[in-house]
Amino acid sequence: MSNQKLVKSDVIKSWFNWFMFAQSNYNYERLQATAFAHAMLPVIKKLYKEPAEQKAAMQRHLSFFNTEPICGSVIHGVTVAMEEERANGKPITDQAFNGIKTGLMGPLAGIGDTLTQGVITPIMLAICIGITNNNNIAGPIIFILAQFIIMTTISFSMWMNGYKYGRLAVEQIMSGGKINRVIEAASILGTLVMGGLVGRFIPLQFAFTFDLGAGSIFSLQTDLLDKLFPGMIPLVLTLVVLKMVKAGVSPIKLMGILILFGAITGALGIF
Amino acid sequence: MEVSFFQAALIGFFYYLSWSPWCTYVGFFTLNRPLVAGFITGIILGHPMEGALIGAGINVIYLGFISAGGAQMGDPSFAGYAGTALAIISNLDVSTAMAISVPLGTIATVLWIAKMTVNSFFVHWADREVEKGNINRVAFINVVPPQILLFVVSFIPATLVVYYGPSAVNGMLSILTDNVLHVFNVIGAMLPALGIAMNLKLIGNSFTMPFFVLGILLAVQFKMDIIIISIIGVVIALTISAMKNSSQSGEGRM
Repeated sequence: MSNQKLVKSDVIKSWFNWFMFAQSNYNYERLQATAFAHAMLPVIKKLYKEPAEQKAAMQRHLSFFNTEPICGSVIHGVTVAMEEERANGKPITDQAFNGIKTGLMGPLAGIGDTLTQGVITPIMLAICIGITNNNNIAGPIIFILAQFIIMTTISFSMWMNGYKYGRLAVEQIMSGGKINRVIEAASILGTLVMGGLVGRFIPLQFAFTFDLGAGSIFSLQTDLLDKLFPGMIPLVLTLVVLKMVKAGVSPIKLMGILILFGAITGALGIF
Repeated sequence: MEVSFFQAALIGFFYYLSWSPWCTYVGFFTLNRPLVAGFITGIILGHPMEGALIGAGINVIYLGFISAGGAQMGDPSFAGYAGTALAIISNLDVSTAMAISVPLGTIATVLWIAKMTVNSFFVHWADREVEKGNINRVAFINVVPPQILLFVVSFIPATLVVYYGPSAVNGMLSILTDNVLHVFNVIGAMLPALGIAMNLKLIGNSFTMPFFVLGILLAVQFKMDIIIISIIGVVIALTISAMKNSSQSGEGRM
């Protein structure tokens, strides 16, 4: 077995296949299996010259795989490094590959979904929705540019770190606590901004008024709530919905409940 | 306003694009979001600012929605493209647009389920080709058949809804009184609570929730812009994590 080395462009080609087509053939049976094999294709063709070896390598990467495509890239980086070692004579079994892939994909999906879908995207959206709402067309444009820069940077550096440092890179991400500190700090920013959105997008006000006689009218909203805490109704509504989400009521069901609740309270003139 | 078939087809095409791989995986984080969907639909229909405003409103409802492990709760993208298109064509206000876009997004979930089911067959096709030794076919199978399928199940329904939907909406509007429109406004004001609550489920805990109350206060009482609120948020977040860090490394030294 001769010295089989990957050059940087092989690794980048492999990353790009994944970055483009990770979810292209997303399916219930094996989720991202064909996308993983597709990403490995340039690497495998470079490392193995024997058709039988190429076939075996593709087969081991057509197994069930599912992770968060941006942060999960580190797994591919590690896998590419392992394939390179194996091509150079290190005895790595198919089970070892599968063990690494299935062992890492769950935890990284958890971290990745929290970071990309739970923290970065909602915060960027909240800010850019706020910009848009001031009649500024820059809102969606800034959002698109920012998302491309942030997501491409994370995905590429995850992949390259995985390739360079192997499993060490993953251990650093998982145990060093660095990513958790980022998520924690972003969560503070996120909850504050969510509060700002509540104030802007849930303009619910009590419509009740009481005639106190002698020409004076008491309005529950302007004469009482606005003097205590003006955002009281949106706050209470959001907390009730949050409680129901935590109790496991499905979002689709909650949409129905909110539409029904809005229709009843709106028709009765409560809001 | 009237929508031409070409405009409807263009909106349908961007809806397809938002689920496709052609803008890299970041397409899912941009074109797929109602804010961007509304903006693009607005450009196609000649009202970019209205489109962006309607998309922004719809997006708040779906703010905390997470697609994970193959589960998809509603289709924010369909709600964004079709909802904004119907709203601009039928001249609806933002909260009415929000109220009608939610059922659209919910029904469109069947498109996702159809795609995820049929795609399973392509995996077996890839298995067979690799077994035969045609490893290059995996790239083709991962891209071409699922994209043809996706195009059929996304472009066609979206185009039809945008093209034929407005007459249904107009028929509905003609029987609506001011009272009914008020009800739509109340519904539109309640739905954002869901998107925000779903996000808080993930990032809200006993430590961060007080900041949520502070955020409401800054917006409602002090009428602050989101930009200013987020700058305050960055300052607070940096301060707190620096404080936590220094106390941790301090303990480490002792």
